[in-house]
Amino acid sequence: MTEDDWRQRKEITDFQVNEISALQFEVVATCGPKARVGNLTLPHHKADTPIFMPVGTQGTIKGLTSQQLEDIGCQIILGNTYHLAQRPGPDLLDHVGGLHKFMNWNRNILTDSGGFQMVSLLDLADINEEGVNFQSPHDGSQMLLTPEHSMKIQNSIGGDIMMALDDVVSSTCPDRNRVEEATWRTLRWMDRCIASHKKQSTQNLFGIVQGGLDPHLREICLEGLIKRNCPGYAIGGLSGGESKDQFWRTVSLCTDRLPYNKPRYCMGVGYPVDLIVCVALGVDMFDCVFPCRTARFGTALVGDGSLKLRSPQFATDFNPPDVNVGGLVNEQYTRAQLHTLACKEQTGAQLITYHNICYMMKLMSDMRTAIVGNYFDKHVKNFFEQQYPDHKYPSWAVDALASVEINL
Amino acid sequence: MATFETDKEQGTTRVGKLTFQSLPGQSYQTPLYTIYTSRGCIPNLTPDNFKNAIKTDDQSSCIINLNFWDLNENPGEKVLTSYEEHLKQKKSDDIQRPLHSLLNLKDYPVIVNIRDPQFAQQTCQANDKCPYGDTEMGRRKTNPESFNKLMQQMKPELLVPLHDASVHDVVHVSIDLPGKEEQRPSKKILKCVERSKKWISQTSTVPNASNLLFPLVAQTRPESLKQFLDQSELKESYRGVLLGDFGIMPPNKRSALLKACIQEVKATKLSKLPLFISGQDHPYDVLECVQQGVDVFDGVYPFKVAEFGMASIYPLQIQQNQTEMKMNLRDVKFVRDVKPVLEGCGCFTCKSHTRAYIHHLLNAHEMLAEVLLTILFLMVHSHNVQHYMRFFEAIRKSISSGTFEEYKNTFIKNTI
Repeated sequence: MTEDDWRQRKEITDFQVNEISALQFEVVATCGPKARVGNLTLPHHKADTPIFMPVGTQGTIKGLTSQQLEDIGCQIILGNTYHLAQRPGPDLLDHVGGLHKFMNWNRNILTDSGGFQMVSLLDLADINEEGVNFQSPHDGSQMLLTPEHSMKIQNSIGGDIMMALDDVVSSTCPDRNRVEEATWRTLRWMDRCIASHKKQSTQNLFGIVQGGLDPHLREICLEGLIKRNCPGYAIGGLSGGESKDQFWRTVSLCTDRLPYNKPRYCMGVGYPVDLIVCVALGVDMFDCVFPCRTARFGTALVGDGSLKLRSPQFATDFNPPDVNVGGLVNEQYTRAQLHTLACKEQTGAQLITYHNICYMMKLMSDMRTAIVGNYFDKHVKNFFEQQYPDHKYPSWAVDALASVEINL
Repeated sequence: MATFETDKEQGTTRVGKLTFQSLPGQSYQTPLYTIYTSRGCIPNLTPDNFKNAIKTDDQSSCIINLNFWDLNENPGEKVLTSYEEHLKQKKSDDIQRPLHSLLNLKDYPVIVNIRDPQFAQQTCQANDKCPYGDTEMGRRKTNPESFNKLMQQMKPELLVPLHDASVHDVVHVSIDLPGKEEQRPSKKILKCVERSKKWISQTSTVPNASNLLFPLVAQTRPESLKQFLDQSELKESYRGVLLGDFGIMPPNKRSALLKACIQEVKATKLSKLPLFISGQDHPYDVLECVQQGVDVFDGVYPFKVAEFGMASIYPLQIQQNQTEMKMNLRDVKFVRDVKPVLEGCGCFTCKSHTRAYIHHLLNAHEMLAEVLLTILFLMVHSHNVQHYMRFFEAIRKSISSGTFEEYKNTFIKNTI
């Protein structure tokens, strides 16, 4: 069969179009061909892009309170639909009036569709046209996650941004037919999501661009989602073990094609180096478990890399973790004290998590300042020099930045 | 450094005030609770949450309890000396109180004790040579010279000198058994007394020390106690008396011994000093000891209660209706309950969250283990600590207004 034959068979002529948007997005500054700063206004609170969104999973961010997250400056946090569906469950969330009220967080929440678990729990999942069949690893019970079901749960959660249920296939999947099937199914499921989304005026449904690492498939998905007029778009199916070279090229393709005046979210991207490159390529929103997870193992993120605070060298290091990152931990604690607490006291995990999120907020706000001040290219170069004092820059990053006229 | 004056007395019960030279302009009203720490921090409470948890209307009364064996490892002499160098180079004012600065406890006075408040009984042991403690890192020893050196560096506002308080066998003997009551003091108790006299004297010699408490030994054997007091050098410089540890025994027995103990102390030069006690942290015990005239407490009650997901709800004022001491937030009845844990409680947890949310955290931990337990403990510690601080405030208020007896009696009568 030719390429066109495939298209004929799977093209849907009768597709859903998203009518209402519950957000406003305005690009307020650019620097270079693709990097941009935006004002994103969501139902609960505004957000300054490029933005990093910490991951909260079960309605809490790893030992920090909602008040502390506000103090640090978070504007959007992530809730994980799969876990929230188990506990507390959509009924209870309906009863209390949504996740915002339940966890007492008054700013924005973004919920994923539950689809990521497909890739991570693949042994226990069986994917067909109807949806995804999970077998819960905890009690063996069956759960069918359909686009309709995902919308229902996310409606109960009440997040400002919802993600469509997409057919996620690992970026390292060798079966091209499977990847293509997933691409078309994502579009068909997008239609089912739009049709069953009951709160379009208060919750924004983002489409997720799939297509693996194949530019042709990505194009198909892009075209399909763009004509469905989503309020915003995510670049999915990456950060799963593909080579960094393929990663950046896929991101770049998507940012080239996605509408300029709508936010773009690169899912699962969170290492500082990856973030800064993706901002250069025109991405607006990011999420990752990395900063919080690494904090619980005693690692603090700092300007020129990271500090494994459990290491004995920090027992007499009386500097704050990173003097350039503000906040409670840097004002009141030394590396020596965190060395004592790391991995031994819960308070230690809380303090290092607090610091790491402060670090991420500062990372993003420095980028925004540099873009607005029109010196983003210098900023990127300085960042790389700090992270790689021996100038052995990763070649994928060099190539990616060269594509937007930043020459390391 | 530390001074005490009584503000109001009602029989043996009293409110008083502690002040410390290192924190001028602040006063700490007694009866008060010295808050438990582990490795220098309050469990699960970062400084911002901790400040909220200890807030009371009278704005006072938070003293931090540090364990000597903890401090010996963290920071320990080497790290603290290194830190002092660092402060000298920075020309920082913090050099006056390097330990407080390092542990981020600059706003608070601290008390250092060899007793770990976690356990109902004294865990610090001793032999003829020296006291020793069993820590996570193994058995650690100390002696008067290194103790003095470390404490001079650390400058706690209140300090308990080295003594031998490993009185377990005395507890057994003093439990009501016919005929055993009038035994001569055991060899063990005599040893405790001898060692303690020596070590107390050796660790009370630091020049200009105005932070020392005089620790009692043999407090459960009045005759031995009297002998101990007669034979000890009761210096002018002592700032308080540590009544020590009454171990585990029936409450009426403990009451009687405590009374006898305090009477012995009041008959000496130490009569005007504030009375500290160890291991009495349950509210019933606190009320009993306050009635007998105790001023300062330690212990882990709010944290112990939280361990099982319980929130404290005992009464903070005189009330006639029955209530429970604590609420089990695991109970299925709280699944959809959107009220705060305790109506009218001003703590962070009750102001921002509901019973349903905390119940969710408690149950969801099966999926995400220690991650959610952290925030769960944060919530429950915030509430329980605040409630406990308010409890001590209620005690102080009721003594000042002459209603302490009534508060104590209705409290014990009406709680289950």
